[in-house]
Amino acid sequence: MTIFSRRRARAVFLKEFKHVFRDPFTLIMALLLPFLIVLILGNCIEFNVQSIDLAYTDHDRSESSRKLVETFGSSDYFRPYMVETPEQGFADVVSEHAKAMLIIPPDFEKEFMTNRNPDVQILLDGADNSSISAISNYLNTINTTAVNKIRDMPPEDSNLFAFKTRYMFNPELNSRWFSIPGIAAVIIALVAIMLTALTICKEWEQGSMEMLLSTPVTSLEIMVGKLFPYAVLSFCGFIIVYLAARLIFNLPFAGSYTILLSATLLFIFDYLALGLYISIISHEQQVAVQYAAAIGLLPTAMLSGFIFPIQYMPEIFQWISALFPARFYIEISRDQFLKASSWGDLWIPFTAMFVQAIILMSACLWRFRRTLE
Amino acid sequence: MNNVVIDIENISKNFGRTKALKNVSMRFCTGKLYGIIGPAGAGKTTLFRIILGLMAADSGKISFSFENKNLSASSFREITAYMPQTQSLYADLSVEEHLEFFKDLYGISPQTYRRKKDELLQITHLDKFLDRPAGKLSGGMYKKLGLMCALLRSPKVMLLDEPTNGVDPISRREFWDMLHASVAEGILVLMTTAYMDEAERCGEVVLMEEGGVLGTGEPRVLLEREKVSSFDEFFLRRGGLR
Repeated sequence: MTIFSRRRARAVFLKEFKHVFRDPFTLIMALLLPFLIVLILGNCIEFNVQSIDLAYTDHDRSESSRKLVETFGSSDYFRPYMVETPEQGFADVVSEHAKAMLIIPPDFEKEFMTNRNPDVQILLDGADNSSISAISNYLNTINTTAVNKIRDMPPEDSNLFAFKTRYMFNPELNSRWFSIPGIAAVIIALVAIMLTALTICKEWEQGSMEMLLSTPVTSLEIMVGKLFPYAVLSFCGFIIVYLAARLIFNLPFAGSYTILLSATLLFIFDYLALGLYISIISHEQQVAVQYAAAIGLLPTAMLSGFIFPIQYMPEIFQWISALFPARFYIEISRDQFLKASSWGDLWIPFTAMFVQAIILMSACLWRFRRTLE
Repeated sequence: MNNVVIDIENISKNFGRTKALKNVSMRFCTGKLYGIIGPAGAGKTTLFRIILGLMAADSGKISFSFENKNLSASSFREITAYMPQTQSLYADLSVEEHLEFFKDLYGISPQTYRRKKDELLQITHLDKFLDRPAGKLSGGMYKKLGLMCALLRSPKVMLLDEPTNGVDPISRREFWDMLHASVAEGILVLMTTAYMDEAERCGEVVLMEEGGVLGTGEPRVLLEREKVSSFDEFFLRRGGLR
């Protein structure tokens, strides 16, 4: 008895392909969903904060205080508007009409001109944690700019030296450039894990697995034949993300296609194997979906560096994130879009994904039984 | 002659505390249509799954032989076709696509396939429904398609688990004709059923209840021996004794 017959594997593959193309749900999930996810996440995940409404009261009403407010307004970050009393501004922050409030004290100009470092109060909405660090950063810059403006000095002369910062790889610090390469990982995870887990559980649930197992078809042939269509679909998902990144969000692509494609194929393989493993241990579609969400999707989004930077996680979570291939794939994908490192620089994530693939596949072959128990 | 023998000795199987099979022994030989008769939960499906190696027995032994030579379990599976009780076909695949699929799984050559397909379509009258998806077939046609897929490989042994369940009377008669034709061709046919009236159409019956064998033999001989007029009565009387 042959262990692997191409004819039988091809028969399983063709059958599976027909299932996919006749089931609108699968096709929508595999092709339309990635597109929607890129559009939605690409447009919504925005770490740059702009146009913050800033209420201000000016008790000094001098030329200096006017210049300070102007500096806030001339950056794109703030939209200052005047309120009569601090209480009114405070009420605006509470009711979220304003995100921040600026209070300029009476003797601002006098103290400034006599080098007594006047205090200017800023109230920030601390309940909105997501934008607060960005706003604090802007305040430092505005502070320096405002000082120069009030003193009527060109910026160069104000300090003995100045940091001239240039952001490499992403000059405008566009957060989309950073987030979109990671979306491919989330989409592949969704398509590969969910669909594979569902398709094999369906065979168990409907009883067709019993018929299949009574034929000469081997476990390996079933696995290869059933996984192949979903590998193709996952890869289409990746192509959609890539095209959307380049054409809609104008991302650059600095790296090598060979590196990115190798990483993508390895990553797809990892997640197909994970989906397969889920279907082997659960046998039921409903259970499989729960497993897929818990060990597939959540860690892919949360513990992969896609949303939360890995280097700022507690150490234990950094280790946990290393259990999931998504972390390594996102590392390579971001790198190839923006930085273009070589194989030599990326050997760690590649090796990690490769080892994970071997472990997952061995686990599948070990747990897959040709029995109904 | 294609002589297959299945020898089952003292097989037991438990699912947790439920005793699905209790020390069961039986023997099946080519040339007869065996009916394994019993109410739901008698252990019929478990018996088939153990014969096919889809489940392992807790104790006992099964041996197979073909033309007086011993067969391994995997070689036995090579010559056996199985039709599970549950709907096990693919609802979105058409009749023809099913045949093509199983043709490849069984490794049947194109010439044999063409001949076998025409022959089977003629017997089952499914030739007009080649393009119809299995999910849109009637209960009887669905079962006939299942039987066609099983017969496609020209098996030496057929295991049919409740093949006539949910099938209309006319299709049932056609189905039985197909089974008798298969036996005449030298195929060992084992089927299970919960319909007592079907027992009398079998060459030999094995009556099962709650994991045990109540009696075996030719239907009429068995009925005479037990002094009952039908298998319904047989099971009722047995149940009353308990």
